[in-house]
Amino acid sequence: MARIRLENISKVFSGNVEAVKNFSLTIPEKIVVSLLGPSGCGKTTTMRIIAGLETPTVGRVYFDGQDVTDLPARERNVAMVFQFPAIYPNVTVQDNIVFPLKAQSLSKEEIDQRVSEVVRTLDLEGVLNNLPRSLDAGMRQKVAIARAIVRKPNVFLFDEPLTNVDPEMRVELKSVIKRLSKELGQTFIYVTHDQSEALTLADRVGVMKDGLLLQYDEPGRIYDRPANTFVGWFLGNPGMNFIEVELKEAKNKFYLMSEELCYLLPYWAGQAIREKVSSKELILGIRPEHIEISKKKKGEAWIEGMCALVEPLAGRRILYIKLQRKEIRAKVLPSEAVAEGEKVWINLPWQEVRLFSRESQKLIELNSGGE
Amino acid sequence: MPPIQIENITKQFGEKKVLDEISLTIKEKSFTCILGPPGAGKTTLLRILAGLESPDGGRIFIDEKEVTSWTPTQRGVSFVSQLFVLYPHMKVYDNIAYPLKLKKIPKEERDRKIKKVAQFLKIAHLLDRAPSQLSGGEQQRVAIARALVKGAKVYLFDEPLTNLDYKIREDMRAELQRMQKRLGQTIVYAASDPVEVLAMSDNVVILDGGKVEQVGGTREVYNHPQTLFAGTYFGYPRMNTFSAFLTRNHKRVVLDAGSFSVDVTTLRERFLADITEYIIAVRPENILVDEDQPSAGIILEVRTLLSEIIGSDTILHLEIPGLIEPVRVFVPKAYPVSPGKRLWICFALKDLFVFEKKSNKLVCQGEEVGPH
Repeated sequence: MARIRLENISKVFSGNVEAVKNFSLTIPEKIVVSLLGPSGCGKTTTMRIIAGLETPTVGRVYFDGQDVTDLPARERNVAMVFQFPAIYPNVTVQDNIVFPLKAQSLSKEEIDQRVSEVVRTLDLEGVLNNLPRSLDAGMRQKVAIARAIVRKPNVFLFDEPLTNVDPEMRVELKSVIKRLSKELGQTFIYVTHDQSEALTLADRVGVMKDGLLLQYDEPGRIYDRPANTFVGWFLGNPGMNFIEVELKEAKNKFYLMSEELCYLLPYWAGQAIREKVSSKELILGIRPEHIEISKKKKGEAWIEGMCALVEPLAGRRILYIKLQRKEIRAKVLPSEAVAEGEKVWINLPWQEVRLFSRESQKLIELNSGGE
Repeated sequence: MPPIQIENITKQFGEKKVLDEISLTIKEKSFTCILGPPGAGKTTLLRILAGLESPDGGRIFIDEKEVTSWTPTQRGVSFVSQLFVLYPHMKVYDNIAYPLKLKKIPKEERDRKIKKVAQFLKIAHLLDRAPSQLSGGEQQRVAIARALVKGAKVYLFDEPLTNLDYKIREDMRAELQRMQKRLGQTIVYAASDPVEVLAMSDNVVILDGGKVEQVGGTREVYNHPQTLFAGTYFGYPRMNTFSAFLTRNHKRVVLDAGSFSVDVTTLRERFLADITEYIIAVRPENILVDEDQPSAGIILEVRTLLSEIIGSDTILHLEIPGLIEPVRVFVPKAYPVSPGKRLWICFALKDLFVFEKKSNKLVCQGEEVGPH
């Protein structure tokens, strides 16, 4: 168990590549934190700094309040599982699992007990005498996880462990990791570029881009209230739609205006925006699955469009809807879909609309007082 | 533009038969996906169509002319591979211009064509850059632009999106579909991701072990898979399957899957007397999940293994007591459920498929089995 604190961490690699930029993060004990971002965002570097495999150029790392910045990896009692499982190919699964314990002075009983516990937890009885190279990538990764947990480390670090695993096994490993995180009550840090892994496994998600931590929150909140337009776009399949709008006030009413729409705001929201942001230039964001569609104009607020393209997926349809100039994506149930070339009306429910500053691209937090 | 005709194509590498008597007609101006797992023979088939590989037997017709012995250039087809290669010392503009220069297209016309295709693929702002300055997705778009600018009649794409980040894949799917609709070429596209196929193609060829499993309109094949492989491979999440035994008593013919059974008396003549093993299958999006016991359809009590959140939707992996393989359910909303939680699932007879276990062939499905 360890509470981890990163304080103002920066990492500059040779050639002046700044992988991580002035980064602070607190990871409470016993939770799963996922660092999520596109390749090159600095997530792996951050994890390697926590592990002690990389020294930050600036900043300090604390485990339970103790400064471990200069402590080498082996003294931090962390276990890592990588994209390519770090196991010995020429010794049996059993020996692979026992090996990390040999360095610790443990009694034979203790070793046997720990190994059998791990083997049971991960359901590895059937392959104990196999050599790793006879196993598929998913099973090898399971053996790597077994090697990690048998040491009883304080912190588990996972670096894209499912990337090379086939889809069926990926689900099983996700289940295993989810279950272990609950049973072991340890701190898990899970690095991935795959939003579904982060949303499925983590209690907290840190979204990274260009070495910066953009948002650190519960998965539901990250998805629902993205801190900026990048997070809104990066999460979701497809990501959030954005329309550039301008705040207009007329006859005691507030509107968001653009070529495509004239969106009447609740009065309180208009006032709140006017107070919070000096510029009137905003971005309206809405997730594709929150757009309502209809073949008839159902009310004043409904906007006319044309369905330009349909992607019929298994339980969903993605509609590309052309408005005046802009095109937006709506994700609907198969029963709601319209055909390509058909006229369609859309509605953007206010409770699902997120507003961002066009200058900073940041979310404008509005108290939902008047909803 | 007449179609592509493939007649009895076979190809063997050493001992391994990669393509086994493949015959296909590709409709003109259609977007046809060849879907299959790695090793199915997709790439070999495309390379034979392109003229990069010659078949051991069989014939290829393009535009009603036999082209089996023609060179790639003579065939007038364009090939985009998964491992696209750009010339690193040339700017993006010159990379796209290269095939036009070879064809000695005048400079002005060249320029017009390049700008048009660049705008279409949203790379107009990148024309002055070197390939090394581009992201993977941008590089792949340049490779596609270079293939497009040639103005070929037939485009062959070999899993062009496989190595790209999934956010780019989402955008590229729509762009490729639009491009084909606007320019009206014939596209043959090898894919291993069923989602890409559903999203983009008009027609699908399902290939496994060098043999064609099923050919048809994309929705047609999805809604009416003729083999268990076509049903399970073409769909994500994968179709659920239950082993069932045929029992006959008192004139009733019933498929018994252990946890539920299906009366198939009205279709008894489809079930041969000496065959007792069948597979009942249902797609994940046709299963409803509930916290209370539902009242209609086939109802099963399950235990949650994992709730996999994929943004707007959830794939639930559920365990049925006594069954090893978990059941997958597609829920069109974010639905976090703790592992271990008890739930109910239900599905309708009309959404079932019945396959014969030994031959893997469809016996009956949906509306034939039960009420709407």
